[in-house]
Amino acid sequence: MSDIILETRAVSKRFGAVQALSDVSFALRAGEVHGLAGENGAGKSTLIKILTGFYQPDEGEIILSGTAVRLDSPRAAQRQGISAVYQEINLIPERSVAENLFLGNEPRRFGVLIDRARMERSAAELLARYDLAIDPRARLGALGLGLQQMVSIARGVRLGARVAILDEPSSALTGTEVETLYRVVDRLKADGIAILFVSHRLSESYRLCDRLTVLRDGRVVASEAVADLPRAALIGAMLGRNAEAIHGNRPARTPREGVAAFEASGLRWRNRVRDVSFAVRPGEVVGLAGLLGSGRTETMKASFGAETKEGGAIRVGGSSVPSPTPGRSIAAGLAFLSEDRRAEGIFPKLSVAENLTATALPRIARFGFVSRRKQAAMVAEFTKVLGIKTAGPNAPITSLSGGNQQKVLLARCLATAPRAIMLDDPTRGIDVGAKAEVHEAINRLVEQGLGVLVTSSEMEELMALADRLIVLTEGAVTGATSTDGLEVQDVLDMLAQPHEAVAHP
Amino acid sequence: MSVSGTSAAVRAEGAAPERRARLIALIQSRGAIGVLLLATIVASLRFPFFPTVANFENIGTAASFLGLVAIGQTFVIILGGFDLSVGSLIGLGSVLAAYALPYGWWAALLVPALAGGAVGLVDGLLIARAGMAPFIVTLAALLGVRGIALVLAKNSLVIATPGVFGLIANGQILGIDNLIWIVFIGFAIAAIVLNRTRYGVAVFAIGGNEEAARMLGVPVARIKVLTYVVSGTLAGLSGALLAAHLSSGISTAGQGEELKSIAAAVIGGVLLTGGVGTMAGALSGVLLLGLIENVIDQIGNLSSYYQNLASGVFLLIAVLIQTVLTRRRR
Amino acid sequence: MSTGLMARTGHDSPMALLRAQSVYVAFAALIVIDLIFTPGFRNVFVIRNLLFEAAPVILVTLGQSLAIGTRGIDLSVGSTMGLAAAVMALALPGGSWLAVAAGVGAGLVVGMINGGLIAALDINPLISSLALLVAARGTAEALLDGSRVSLPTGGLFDALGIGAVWIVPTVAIIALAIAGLVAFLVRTTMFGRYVLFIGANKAAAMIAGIKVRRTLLLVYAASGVLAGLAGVFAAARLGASDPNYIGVNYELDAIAAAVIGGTPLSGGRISILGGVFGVLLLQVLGASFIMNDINFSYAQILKAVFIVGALYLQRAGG
Repeated sequence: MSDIILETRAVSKRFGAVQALSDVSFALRAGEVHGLAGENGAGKSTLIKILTGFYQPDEGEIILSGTAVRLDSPRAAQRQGISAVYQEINLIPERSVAENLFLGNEPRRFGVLIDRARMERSAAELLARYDLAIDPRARLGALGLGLQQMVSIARGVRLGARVAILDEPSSALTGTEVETLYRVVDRLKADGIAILFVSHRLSESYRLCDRLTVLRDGRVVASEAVADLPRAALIGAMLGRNAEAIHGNRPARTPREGVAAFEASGLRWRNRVRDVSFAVRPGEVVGLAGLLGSGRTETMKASFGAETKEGGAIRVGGSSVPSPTPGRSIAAGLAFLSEDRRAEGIFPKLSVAENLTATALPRIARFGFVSRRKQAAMVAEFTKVLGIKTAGPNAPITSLSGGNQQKVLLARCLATAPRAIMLDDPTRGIDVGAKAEVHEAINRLVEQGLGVLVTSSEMEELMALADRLIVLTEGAVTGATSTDGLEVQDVLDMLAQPHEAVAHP
Repeated sequence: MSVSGTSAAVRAEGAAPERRARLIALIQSRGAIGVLLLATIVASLRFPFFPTVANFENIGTAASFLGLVAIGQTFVIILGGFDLSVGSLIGLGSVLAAYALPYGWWAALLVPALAGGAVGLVDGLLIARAGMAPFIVTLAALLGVRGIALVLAKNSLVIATPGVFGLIANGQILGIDNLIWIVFIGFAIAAIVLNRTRYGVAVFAIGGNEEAARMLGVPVARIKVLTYVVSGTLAGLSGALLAAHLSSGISTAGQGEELKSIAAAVIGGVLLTGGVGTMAGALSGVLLLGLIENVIDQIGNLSSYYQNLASGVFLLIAVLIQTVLTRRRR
Repeated sequence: MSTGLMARTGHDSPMALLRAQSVYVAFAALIVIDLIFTPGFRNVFVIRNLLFEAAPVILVTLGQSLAIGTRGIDLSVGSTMGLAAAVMALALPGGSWLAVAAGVGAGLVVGMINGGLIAALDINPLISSLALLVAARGTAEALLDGSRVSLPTGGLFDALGIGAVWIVPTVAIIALAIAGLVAFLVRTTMFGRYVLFIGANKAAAMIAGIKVRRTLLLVYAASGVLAGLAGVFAAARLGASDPNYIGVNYELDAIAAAVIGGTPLSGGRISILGGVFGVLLLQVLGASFIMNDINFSYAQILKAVFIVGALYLQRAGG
């Protein structure tokens, strides 16, 4: 078709053992807003990085306005007219809006001196075209995040962008800022610019997009006009059955009565966690069901004290943890496994043993001295229980496979003998075998009376693990259900319901 | 410009914190000028020796060597690094000037400047191309350059007939000492370069967010190297002027000036975290340190060593205030 | 598991192994060269003198290694030495033991201020310790009016300044004992683990509930105390407290020795033994120049080149 601006043909990309993208073909048309959807690890960010020149595809080609192009650096992509706006602004916050718009090709007088008056005038004109009431002389950092993103878009347009990639542009925006974004997107559309829009908010995607492409496990699983892709079908495509997944049957169990292992009430953090309450009983697995960006990670972090909650109460084993910090939570008997293994999990350069015992050091130390014998015993115990495959306790953690690294981190959580544990997407990015072993381990621990709160990017997995689900939408609890006799489709339907009821503060 | 209801609302929403942020930014960038004025008034009222034209000229001349170095240092700090080699380069510059003078006054200026630039080039390449930490590289340069200066001249070299060279540093134009002219013109040019050229804007961009600057197409490595070259050149030149002023090349000259120049810049509101700062602020910092030195010198019962204590304490307070203010602004 | 084993060999490649051990190889090579070519190197007085010079550097290198292990830096150690010596001189009327305690105490104060700025206010260690480098030196100079104060002869100061067991100075024995203690602490205590955790991944350390702030405060306080003791040793050796001389540029030697010894600037790993040998290497290198009648200034130039070269090579090793 003639109005296709950017197209990928059978693009594949591998990182080591992980096939990040396989055979991805999709097309972006002029004046179209094209939504890109998918869960953690579906391949969205890899695709964007290929389109913006950070990565090179292993196979396949990128066609820009009918000709195959090589985007071998971010600057090359920009020169070709592909402009990207990220959630984390790639501009200079301490400098003025005009300077940010013109950095690198400021208008000059006498060939040397920057003509500030002219630069600011042009900046004002450019901003006015998009109906943005921004003073070109204002410090960029003084603007709200939303307006900063608009400036970033305007810069792209000024440099002649034909394709604008908006990567989760609205996830940190306030209501009015989102409206501004919508207006700007409409204007870009009218100017014939193709827009690739990545968002985790479904209502937004439906409001803005003309077409939606869904990635799962690095493949395109759906690519339809929005009218042909109802919410339930979209969510089904995103979270649906994974061909590779092996999920054992959940053993029948009865949670113990009495005091909750872990309980949160009225939890609040920024506008990402809104009045969230739940309780996890001993011997029970509760699933926090929600899409990426629904506040599931933030709920866990605020409960644990990794983020400072702005309201609400946490109780572990019946006793209150007044202002939780990770240290206090662990002492109270709560453990937390972050979804980001690399940034918030492992200690690179250190050994398996040192990584595994990190939080449990007080248990194997006397007067501050770590007992080699007790450490060896602890490492041996968990290596056996969780089936950690390692060359030995002194092997560097980075020498382990992702799945085994994850098991070490799980062992780190369990080594403090917690009453309750929060597992944020515990099997993210690990292979099928390791996944099954992690599930098995969780089931065994629950038998022994541990309370578990878990999330997953895969609905199937969550259903297989959890006894009960709490549905989280845009930071608020919008439902709760037992998983007995529940079908995946039922949960997808719950997630798909428009949540007009959820008030934006 | 058409202003729709929503965007007006967006603007109003951010107005109050923005006003506070502006106020804080003003204190950060212009606070030093205020403190300098205040200190001048207090000193004038308190010490009869202070408010005389001759004394002000003394302060200006004495501060001019630090001033030249502080210009380069300010560029480097805004870039997000710092240059510890400048003090040693003053010593090397002064020795080289003495050696080069027989070939002409111009050689006595050019050779030190080129030598300083060459050291800056090596520093810059190691920092920008090899990715080494600025403090390690320039700290080693501090050591090595001082060593070179000492090898060249164990004792000070007396310049026999300074002639034109001496006049450059000790003469007057329109009744004002040349050194004062030089440093003020130097700061004025630096301010224009910093604010009105693509190079200056790029320096701010790199210091503000290096990764973003690279993404936005700024030639990061080249700008970094150039900036260390500028700093080294100015330090070498400062050494040459010192030699002209004192009629001798002194290999141990300039010790501690690297720290003083950093202190002056930071006191003047140049953030050590990079990306923020003004030349006017840095100049105020230089003059403030010069004023303190002048007063301590003349009080008589205070050791001249309190100067270093004062600049250290000022630096510490400036770092603290800037850290707190920067957090507030966010 | 085979992949694990292969990954392990990949991690410790021959090059990396050589790099990790390079300080010992270089030290041995230098000694051999000196034994053959340098006149008088075999003289026991030379060795004793060398160890006298090395003792304070070893102490500041220990503190520096802890700071670098957390992915920080402590530029204030040299000035802290000067301040400690100055405070010690002022406290002399109270007796030599009190004076030494006051000097070490001054180091502790500087370390606590530095650690407080870093831990509580989250100021970059480079910046806070740079500010203290200026402030501590200025304070030292102001306290003594910039002049040299002689220490009394005899007693404690002689024991520290000239006392030796055969060719091994008392101060070197103390410094090595403390090095052993620090190595032991790093290896076996929770504190040592916490230091490495913070250096390897601060965000993960926070999530793991590790007391990051307290550990950082302790690290910089320890560095201050060690620098204080180093200042006392240096002054005792000199027989005087000289605020313009004691500890100048020691921070560079300490950083260089630590990094050459296998403590990477990127944090998460500490080699105390390597740091000690790094100090010895730099000291022997300097001595070699002097003993071969090469202008000491050349030694200074080559030392700078050597440091940059070594760091350049280590850079690739991370």
